Amino acid sequence: MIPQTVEFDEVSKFYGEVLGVNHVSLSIPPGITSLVGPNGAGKTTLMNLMTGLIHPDDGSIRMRGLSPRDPENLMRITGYATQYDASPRWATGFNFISTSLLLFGYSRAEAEEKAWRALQQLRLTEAAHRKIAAYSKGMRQRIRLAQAIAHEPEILVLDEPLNGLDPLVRAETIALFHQWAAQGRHVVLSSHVLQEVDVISDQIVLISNGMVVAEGKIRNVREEIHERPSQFIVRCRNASRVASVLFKEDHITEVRLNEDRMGLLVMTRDREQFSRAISRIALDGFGIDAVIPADENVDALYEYLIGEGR
Amino acid sequence: MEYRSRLKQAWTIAKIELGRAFFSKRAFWVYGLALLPTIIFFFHGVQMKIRRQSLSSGGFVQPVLLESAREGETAEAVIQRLGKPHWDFEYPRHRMVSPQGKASGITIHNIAPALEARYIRLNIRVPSYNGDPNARIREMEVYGGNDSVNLALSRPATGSAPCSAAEGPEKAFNGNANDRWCSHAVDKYLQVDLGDIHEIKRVVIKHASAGGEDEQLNTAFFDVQASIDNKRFVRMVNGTGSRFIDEITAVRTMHYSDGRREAVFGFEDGKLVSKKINMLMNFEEDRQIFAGIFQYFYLRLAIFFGCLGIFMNLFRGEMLDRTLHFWFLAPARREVLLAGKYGAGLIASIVIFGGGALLCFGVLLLMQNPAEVQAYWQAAGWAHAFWYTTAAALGCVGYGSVFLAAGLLLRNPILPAAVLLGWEAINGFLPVMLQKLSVLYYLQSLCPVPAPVDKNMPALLQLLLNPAAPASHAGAICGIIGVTALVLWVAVLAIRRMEVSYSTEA
Amino acid sequence: MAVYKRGYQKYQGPITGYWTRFMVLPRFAWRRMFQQRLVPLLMVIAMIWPLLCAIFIYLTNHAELLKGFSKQFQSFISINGNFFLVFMIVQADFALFLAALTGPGLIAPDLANNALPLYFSRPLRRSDYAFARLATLFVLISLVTWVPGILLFGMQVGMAGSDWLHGNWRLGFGVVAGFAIWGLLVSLVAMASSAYTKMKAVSGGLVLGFFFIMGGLSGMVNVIFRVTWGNALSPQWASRRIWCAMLGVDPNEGPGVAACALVLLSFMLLLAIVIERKLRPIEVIT
Repeated sequence: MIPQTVEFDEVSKFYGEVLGVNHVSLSIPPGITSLVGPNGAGKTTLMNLMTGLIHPDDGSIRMRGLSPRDPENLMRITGYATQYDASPRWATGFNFISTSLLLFGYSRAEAEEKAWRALQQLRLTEAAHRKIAAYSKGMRQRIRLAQAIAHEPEILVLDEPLNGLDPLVRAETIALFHQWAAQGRHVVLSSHVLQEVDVISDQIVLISNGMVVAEGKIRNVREEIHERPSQFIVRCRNASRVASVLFKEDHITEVRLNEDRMGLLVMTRDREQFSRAISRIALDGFGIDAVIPADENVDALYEYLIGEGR
Repeated sequence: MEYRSRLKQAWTIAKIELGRAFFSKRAFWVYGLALLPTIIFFFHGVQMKIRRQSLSSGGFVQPVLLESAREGETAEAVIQRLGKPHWDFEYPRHRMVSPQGKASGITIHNIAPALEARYIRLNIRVPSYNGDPNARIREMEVYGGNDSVNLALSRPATGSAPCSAAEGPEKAFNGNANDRWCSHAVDKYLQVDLGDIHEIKRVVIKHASAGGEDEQLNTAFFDVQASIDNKRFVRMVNGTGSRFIDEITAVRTMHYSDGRREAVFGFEDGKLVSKKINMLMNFEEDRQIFAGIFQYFYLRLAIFFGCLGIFMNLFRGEMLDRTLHFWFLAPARREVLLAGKYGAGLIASIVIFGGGALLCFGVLLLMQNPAEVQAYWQAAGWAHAFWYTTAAALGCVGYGSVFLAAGLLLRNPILPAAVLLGWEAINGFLPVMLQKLSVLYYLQSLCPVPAPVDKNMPALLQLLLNPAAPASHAGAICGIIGVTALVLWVAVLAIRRMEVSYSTEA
Repeated sequence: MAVYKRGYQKYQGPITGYWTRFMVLPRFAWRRMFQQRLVPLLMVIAMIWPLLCAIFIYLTNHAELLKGFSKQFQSFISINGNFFLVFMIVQADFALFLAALTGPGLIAPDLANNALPLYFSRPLRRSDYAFARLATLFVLISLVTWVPGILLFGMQVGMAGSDWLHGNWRLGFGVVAGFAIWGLLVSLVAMASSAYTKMKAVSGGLVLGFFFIMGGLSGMVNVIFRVTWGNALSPQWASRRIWCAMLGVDPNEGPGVAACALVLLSFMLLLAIVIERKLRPIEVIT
């Protein structure tokens, strides 16, 4: 049974005396996983380690059972879109992709067909026969993506793939990610735009200073953080009345009234007790319209886990 | 994966790289390097053909007559015997020469307009050319209206302190150039009292070499002053010694030919002084020249720098362009990548330089007399051509691997390249054991014709030159392949460990 | 929303002069060069021969010290045109290696890292940039060529007196002018190769390659055509011929001063054209 995860096992990487990544252990299932962290946290290092561009000083990495030290087999099922903006000076978009496909053993006709398909998926067909050096930034980003997906890999490693894309293309690309994840592939990407990470990802990996600070689905991660009170937004008609009832509970730390007097921001130390309290209040007839978690998003997670470090 | 598919992969990589190696702008310079000798040989051949044509239009002379010209013969005599030359050019040559023998020490100074004076004073500023601090004057003569009367002869003379009693100031005015006035005082001067005020028109001074001494001891810088009252002196001559005079010679060159050779006769002032007879097309000599060029230029410079350009680009160029990671992300083992790139560089350089060598050899043969070429070809020609091409190809193999490895391992690979260049340059002077440690030694062993010694090398260096006996052909080939294998193994180790981290090019 | 209060004021204070701004580029370049270990090392080694020459000058001017040496040695170290010619030949080679070592780092990194737009978006003209780079290298080379030369000449004048100066002033002029020509040529070659290849490693090789290959070419032409005019194509030979004429030394067989000067001038022009074409802050790709 071929393992279906990307495994990091106590991986460390030194750059001279600087620690790039420090005892990183991860197990990434299929789906869309986002690597989130400040600049210099080690996201690119992790991606380079995954694809064998750099070698770990400690520990081992297994990509669906294959080692990055075996590019012959691993690179067939892996595609990597780096953040390095350079491309060969002689290449047109189409040539670039079809030539690199030749190395997979495809015939010329097959390689050209696959290249064309990848270009179509990323809407680069008009510019396909121009030199890459003449592309705009967004087009260069897309050609790198195209090169990464041309051979239909099982594992996609994408370093800031939405960087420099305009909103329309962004949305289309995100749709592509969802499509690939739905087919059971690994899509590992790194990003800074936390709102999008929220929307796109199935799981996240929070990295800071070379260490993994949190890993897993967003909600699960949030649940595990007990130090901070959880925030909920309660939409109700009789906000002040609900507020006074909630104050009596001892797990509530703060209640703030919204300006329109139709909502409350509640901070509670214990989510279980809070959900019971809200149920009681609703059953008592206080007309609760909605209970929304206010900080089950990456922004909040980021601030709690990484922001402290700053 | 099977070895065959790996080989196919390497071949695919090689094909991709070959396109760039052969057709990039960089390649243009490599082609130029490889074709340089061919072009020069070609032009030489064309020049010789044109020359032969122009010579034949002038008419050929009997070969015997060409050699009959004797030194000292007049130009007219030569023309009478050999007929009109097909090239006759005369021009006056100006040369600044130092006069030989006694004449070199004499300076003649004409005073115009003539000065009236009684006291003539010679001040020595710089007494010699080589730093000798002694002023030496053999004789000083002063002439007035009558050009043959030396007004200063035997007149009372004074001067700065002499070197010895026998070298007093009077020795410069006694009409005898065999004795001299010598002084090493701080202020060196010599003065003569003419007795009466005379009109001075000419002063002749005989310095050291006029009396047979070394020319370097002649006065380098002096001046002559004149006075009426021994109080106020007027400078009339500023002399900078008698170093050079302008020698004007009528030089004439004449060219004759007997169909196979060309004679260049040089005449000076009408008399034959030089005779040079060259073969118009000397196949033997041309082959020697080709051997010399092949070993000194082609192997050492052209293939060296050509391979430097081609192979250095394969990895270090990609690293600097930041496109190397694309190769590492391909589904190929790193060794296969290395093999593919090396193969591409090898094919390109062997085609360019092996082909260049062959082409040059061909042009050389083309320009010669067909009969001679036929004989040569059947005897040893094809073997020579084969070994020259092999040497060029193996040079690419050896240098290519070294530069590929250097590009992989080192940040600044120029330093080892310079060291290698220097090592090869001094190869002939090293002890025999160390000589075998270079690529060039084995390549030279493969060359069929030994290169002629560089005639322009100073004799001292020629003495130190101690080339080791060349290795056998088999030994040389094994040597180069052995060195290449070793270097490539090191390169494999390097590429396995290699990491992609593009820092800015500092 | 209109802006009513304009509080922003441009900087009104003093601005440094043109030459101070011009010297920014050389200053930082020199700092970078001397951080490499090889550069100060090479410069120290390059001073060995001038030191020896200074000793020779001292010996020549104190005849009593010379008495022990053979006549050949005495004439070898006599201070004339030949003495300075040998000095110039040795120092010229050091200048070449210095340029091959430091030249590549001048322009190639700027081109490779796309830094030229940064430079030219400041009040810095292309010619200013080029001259600053040229000055950087030229001053460095001067430190090993005509500066020790003129010091040696001054030392000799000091010891031998103004009369020697009268007779031999052209030696001093020849040293300075000859090295100026060589320094300019070598600097231009280093700059052109640095601008042409964008790769420091290859650029250094190109500098050496230019001189070696032109030398080789001239040798080939001489040998194949059986002539001596091929020597004019070798920059070293051509410079040496010009130095001989300036110093009053008898030259070797070969082309005359005019031909050599013409060849050198055309080389310099070609190199200047290459530099001009490569020093562009924009790149148009079709």
